[in-house]
Amino acid sequence: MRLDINLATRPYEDAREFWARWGIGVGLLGLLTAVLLGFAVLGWVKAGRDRQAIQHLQQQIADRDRERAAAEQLLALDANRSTRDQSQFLNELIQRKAFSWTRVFEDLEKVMPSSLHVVALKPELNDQNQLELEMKVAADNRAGAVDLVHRMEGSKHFQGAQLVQEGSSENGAGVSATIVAVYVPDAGNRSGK
Amino acid sequence: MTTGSTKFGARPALACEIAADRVLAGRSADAGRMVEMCSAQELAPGTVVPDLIEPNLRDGTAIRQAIESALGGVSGRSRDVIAILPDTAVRVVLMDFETLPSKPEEAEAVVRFRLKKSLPFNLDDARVSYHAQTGGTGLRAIAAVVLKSVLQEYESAFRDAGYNPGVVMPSMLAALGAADAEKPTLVVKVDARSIGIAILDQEQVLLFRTLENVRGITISGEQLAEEVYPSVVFFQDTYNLNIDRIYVAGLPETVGAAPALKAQTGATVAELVAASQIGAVTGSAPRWRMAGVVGALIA
Repeated sequence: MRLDINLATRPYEDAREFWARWGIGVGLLGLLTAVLLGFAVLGWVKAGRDRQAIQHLQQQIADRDRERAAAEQLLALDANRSTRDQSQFLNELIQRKAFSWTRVFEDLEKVMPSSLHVVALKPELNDQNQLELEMKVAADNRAGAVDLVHRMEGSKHFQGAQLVQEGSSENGAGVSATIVAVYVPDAGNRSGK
Repeated sequence: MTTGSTKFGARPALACEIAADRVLAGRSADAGRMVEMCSAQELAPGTVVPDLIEPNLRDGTAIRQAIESALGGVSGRSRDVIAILPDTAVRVVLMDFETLPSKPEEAEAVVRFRLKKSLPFNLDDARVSYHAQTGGTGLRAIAAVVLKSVLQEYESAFRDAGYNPGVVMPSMLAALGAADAEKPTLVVKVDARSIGIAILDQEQVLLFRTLENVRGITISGEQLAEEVYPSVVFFQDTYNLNIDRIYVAGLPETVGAAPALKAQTGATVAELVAASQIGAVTGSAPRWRMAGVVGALIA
């Protein structure tokens, strides 16, 4: 018969039995750790590729910036200044001529809720030469203006639609709102109608 | 339920007993059902004086060398060892409880409280380990108590010899590991200073006594039977059971004691350590002395 009496100050620990009891758990944890490490290494490798691509694109951007700076420097010369100004004037003119009111209204018609009507529409070129539309609308309630913003977000012709201002309409019967969005005409219609 | 027991219940494959006259060592086979190698080293008289309170190891160098020699022949690369102490250095007490707390710390506190009454030293200076066995209506704990200063002497001797005594137990409790305790069984273990008596039944210790042995291992069969007789009568009166089998250890001629023991009890008498439980022997390691080592290893 066995009596488990042990008076030892530092009792014996059987490592083999420990591994027999806890080995499966420790093994699974080790396996999980290895899998997670594998994922981490894979992610690091992928991130390395992304870093290389970003570095390559940044290099390209820097090259283009240098080219642009050189071109601007060339255009800024006294001999070229009049040509540059004339070119800018003509480009702006072409872009203004390219704006088609008909096309804008056609595109607006597709996103305009029935409870809303346009009071004013002001197209302008922004710093990045994008066509920015500032639109004043009137509606019975605020929901119509919010609905228009949502619809513009879903349209490929309007980007970055924002409700920038809202208040009571002039006659006090409803609300008026100012919505700003970048207008993107179809590539085939850029020549204007 | 035990305190200070090995974690996960495993034991080292090496055992070494320090007795008053020699150091005995053995190594169990991989299957753990027999001792494949054992050896012994003689000690000069007075080198070890087993006692509950006084210093036990009087010549540290001689003991260290004896441990190194005895274990060196059987240890291989193992360094963890079961250290077996003389019975007279450890007090063993049987205690009955209706129940014990489930938390080990609280249970040990209860055992310690009960032990306080029966010890000749302060329990705060002692190390306690107990084995709780359930059966019948209550719970019985076999507690072993050793003074820390005495324990430290033995543990230091093993550590000085390069071994780690991760299990420490008294010789008689270790020897019970070799006994089959299914039927009412009397185990008698004789050494130079004491006679250990245990009665086992259905894998439980029902009676445990350590008697002083003034005659040493030259005790005759009749004298031994006389010493054992009161315990047998007490057992039969208390439990209404007859002893079915007697195991004897520590006597060179068990055959001599057998007729007297059989006459008193009617039980069959056998050596505690069977020839099949022990393999190669080196040095002066007689089988009749190996009960502690063999029991500790095959239990």
